[in-house]
Amino acid sequence: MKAFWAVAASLVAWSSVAHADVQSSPQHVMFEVKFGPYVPHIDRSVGLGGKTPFSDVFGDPSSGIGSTPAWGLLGQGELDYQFFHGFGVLGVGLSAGYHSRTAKSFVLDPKSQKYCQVQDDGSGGRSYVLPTKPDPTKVTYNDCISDDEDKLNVVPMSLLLSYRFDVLDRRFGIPIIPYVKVGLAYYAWWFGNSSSYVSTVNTTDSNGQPKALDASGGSLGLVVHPGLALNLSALDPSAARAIDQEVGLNRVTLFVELNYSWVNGFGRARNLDLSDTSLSAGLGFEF
Amino acid sequence: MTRWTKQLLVFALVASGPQRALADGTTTTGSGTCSGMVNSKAISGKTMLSLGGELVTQNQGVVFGRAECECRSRDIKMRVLLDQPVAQDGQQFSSSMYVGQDNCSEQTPRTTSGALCEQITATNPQDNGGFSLEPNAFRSVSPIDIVLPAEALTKPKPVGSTSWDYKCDTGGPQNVTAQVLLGPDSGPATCKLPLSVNTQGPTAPSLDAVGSGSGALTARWSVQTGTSGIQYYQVLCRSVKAPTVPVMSEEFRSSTPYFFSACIDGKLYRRPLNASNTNTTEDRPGRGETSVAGKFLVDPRFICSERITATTTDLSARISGLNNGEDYEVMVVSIDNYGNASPSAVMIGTPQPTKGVLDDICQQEADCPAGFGCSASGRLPAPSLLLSLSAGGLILGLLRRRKVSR
Repeated sequence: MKAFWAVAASLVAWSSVAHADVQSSPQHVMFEVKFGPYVPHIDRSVGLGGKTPFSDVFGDPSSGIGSTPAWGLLGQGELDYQFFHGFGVLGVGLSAGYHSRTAKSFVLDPKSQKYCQVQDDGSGGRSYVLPTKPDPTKVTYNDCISDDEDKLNVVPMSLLLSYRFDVLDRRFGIPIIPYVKVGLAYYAWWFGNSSSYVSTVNTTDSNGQPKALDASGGSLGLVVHPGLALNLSALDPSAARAIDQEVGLNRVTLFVELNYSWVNGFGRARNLDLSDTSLSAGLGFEF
Repeated sequence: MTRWTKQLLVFALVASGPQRALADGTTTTGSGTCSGMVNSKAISGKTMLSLGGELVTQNQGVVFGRAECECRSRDIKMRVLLDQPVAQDGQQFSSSMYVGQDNCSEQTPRTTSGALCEQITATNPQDNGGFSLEPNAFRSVSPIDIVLPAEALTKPKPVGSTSWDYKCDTGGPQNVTAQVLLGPDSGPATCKLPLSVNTQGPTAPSLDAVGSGSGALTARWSVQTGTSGIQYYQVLCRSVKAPTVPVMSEEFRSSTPYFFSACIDGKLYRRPLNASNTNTTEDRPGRGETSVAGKFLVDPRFICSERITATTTDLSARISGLNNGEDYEVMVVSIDNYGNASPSAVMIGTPQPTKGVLDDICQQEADCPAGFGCSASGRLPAPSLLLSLSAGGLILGLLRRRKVSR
């Protein structure tokens, strides 16, 4: 406890030195770049009836049936317009990012003219079988896959309202800025493959006639991003002030935030569930 | 002379060296020279190589090598350009032609048993009827074209050999000189054209696997670590069911050069090569020719990939546009800097339909996931629109920013 107060006292003392009495330039825009892990939970989509097609194709062959595939990298950028500066900063912003992942697609077995099915092997893993008659044929993962790849692309886009509690930083020179963002999200997605940027799905229409559809769409939802930012400008206040006066860069922050996304078309059927909860980190630039 | 000046001089000497390696197997100076006396008259001039009627300059490539079809001549000519006529009317002189060692024009090599010095006539090599060496042609300064038989260029017959089995694959580069002798054997004038012919193909690749995809096959191959001399690879394929019909579209074949020389039905197809290495001078076997139902030959009609540079770490190529359920023969050829190609073994692959995540979901259209207000077949939202809006917002924000006076 003593250590805490010692650190707090030091920060306050530092702030009194660091917080020089020089007026900073107006601040209205914030740009962020951030990176973090992401894995959509497509198999939770409403209407799949217990199927786990995403895990079947993108999951680790040695994992259990229906297990969530490994995370991939999600890179995002965000642009905010800060319209209120008072007890903290309020802003509205747009963010967009990109995530992709690939996996080998399943191939039609030339003999049985069947595709492999993924089943529970009874010991926590998964097994692959061809649904042959009278008895299914057990095969290996490599027997099931082709040389073609299935590629999932996701472009998460959000309209955000953000609040940054920068009072500690502004008034006391303590360079910690808690913040939270909430917003409406639209995650565009499409599947590609080795042959095409957007793959085609062969299905049948309501009359039973064959129909080819592009494998693309989007899901609507909500996002919440609580986070904590460290004002890097506090490391060298005089240099930061000079940069502000010269180019108008008010503040550079290093941040870590929670990405909570509930993006499944608000639970409606025929929407892919692209929700996930993860952490991301990045840099913010306020102008 | 400073150190830098010396270095520059050395560089200039190296750069202007007499020989220059041409792509596709022949090294030549681009020209040789004529020298000596005929009828007490000094001659001078130069020699050049012509292929298919085009003179080979130092910037052009030519094709020699193992692809020289069955060691038969195919319009390879030596052009002699004299500065002045060798003799006046009425003055008699003889002419002959030899191919072999550089000093083949000297009497001793031409008579020394075992020396590489082969006289070229209309009957040597066999069926060399296109050969003509008329002394009267040297009475003017007009260009003189003399047919060169590929047999002798790729493997000259030693003096004293009674029979000689010409084989193009002689296992490596060799230097020969084609030369015309004018005047008496005791002291002829000569026009020489030095040539180097590489008849050895590169190490053949090992085709490891042919994987299936939807309407596609993926060939994967390898070569032993440390293998040198391979510049490119190119994949060939043909349908087992219709082995005489090129698999790839006319559009693909017309826009994709082949980078190897091929011998089809006794005819040489030199890889199209010019200064920009395009296929503008391409020559391929005709579409109607059918002689490929048997062995899968290295045939330009059956290229199924672009060239793949040998330095790439991923030795694989995907062949698309194939029919699911149909068997295809696939092979890959390694290609050296001279256009010599060495084929791998042939493997058979069969494209098969594949399925992805949505194929399990979309049994019926009504089950397909949809977008926000649009069907699954609707257009993708354009991320560029969002980025444009963001950029616009940033600019507006920056415009609003006013600098505070100090």
